[in-house]
Amino acid sequence: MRAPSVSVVIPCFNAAAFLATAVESVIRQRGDPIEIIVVDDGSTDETASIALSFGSAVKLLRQPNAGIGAARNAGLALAGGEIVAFLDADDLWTDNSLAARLMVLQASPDIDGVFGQCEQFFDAGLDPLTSAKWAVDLRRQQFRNAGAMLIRRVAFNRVGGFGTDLQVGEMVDWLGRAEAAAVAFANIDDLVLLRRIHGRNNSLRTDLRKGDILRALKRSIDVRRARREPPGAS
Amino acid sequence: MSYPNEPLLTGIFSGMICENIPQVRAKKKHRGISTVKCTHWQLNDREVSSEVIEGELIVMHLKTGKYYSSSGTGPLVWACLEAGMSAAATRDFVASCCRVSPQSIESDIDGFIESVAAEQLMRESTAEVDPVPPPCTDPPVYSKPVLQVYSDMKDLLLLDPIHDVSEDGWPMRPTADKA
Repeated sequence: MRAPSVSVVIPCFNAAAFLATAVESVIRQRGDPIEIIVVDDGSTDETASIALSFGSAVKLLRQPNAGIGAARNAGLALAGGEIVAFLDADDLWTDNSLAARLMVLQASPDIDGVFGQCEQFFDAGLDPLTSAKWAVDLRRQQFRNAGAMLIRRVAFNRVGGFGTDLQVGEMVDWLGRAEAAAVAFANIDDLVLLRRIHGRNNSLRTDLRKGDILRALKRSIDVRRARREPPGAS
Repeated sequence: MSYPNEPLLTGIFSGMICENIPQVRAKKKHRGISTVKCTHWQLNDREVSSEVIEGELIVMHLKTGKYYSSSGTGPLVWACLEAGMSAAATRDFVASCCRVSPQSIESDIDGFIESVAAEQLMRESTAEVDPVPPPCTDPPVYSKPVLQVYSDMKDLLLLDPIHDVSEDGWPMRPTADKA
């Protein structure tokens, strides 16, 4: 049986310090070649030239800054894979990341998507005095980060793209819609994602960004409420 | 029954007057009125974030990963508590605002506050406060305030360390530029 093709979208904003490591972690995956799409979302550093340094192994899309949701959506629009994945430019996949998740999708046609486990780590360049103040859970854990998800393209399309008006919380919003769209996910025990904490993570929650997460939670509640209680239902 | 919408209202309940309200203390000094010490509620703001969105209260607890919603009268009750009003003052204010009797909603308000406290969203305080009641414009038709609890996004809400960082993460084009 032919293995389904896989595309991975790597959105970037000023990710020159980390992008090469992220791309290399995808290239190291076993199995058939993966379509790697790097979306440079208006970076002002060397992000684009680093992507280009990988030659034909990487497709580079450059666009004016529009946010992480829009960058992922733009990359997905170019993707040709029957199965899609995402990786933030500051994170890494483990060597077995894709194979472990792909095996589930190939063995279970009724499963639409797979989440693996994740570990967080402090970037070596982070000031230890700063990181010591942060309550980061460094244990291996199950969470539904976009980088830990592998999903069939048709299922993703059923949900629609990521919200483009949220600076953070776009995955909360998307997962709410995925549940409403009855997307069937499986969770596996394999470690698939290493999440780098470097002090400028997009989802670290400042007061301003808490508002985005609250809005994403509200949307998530609304879509599920609408599913349970269709308009006009008594 | 109607109540004047003034800060002193927050210091009166069940015929007693709270002494930890500055205005009450000032009047007590001159009039010799008797007072009792009252507790009020204080947002657990280190771990809790909230916002009323399209009329619905949305709250998240960054330490437990749970989130909450409340609609109808819930946002008004929450606003009273967040302003530092006591349970009794909240009851009286909501009753006045929604034009119902305080006695008829007492158990509803107490139940909501019990939920809020049990979820560690707010804590009791006897610190000196000068609460300003929320606006009573366009008041909701009274309905029992209920705190809905959700825990399905724990993994994502607990993902990040709780701290403040500079705003130099991934920016977004200003909304006006997107048009």
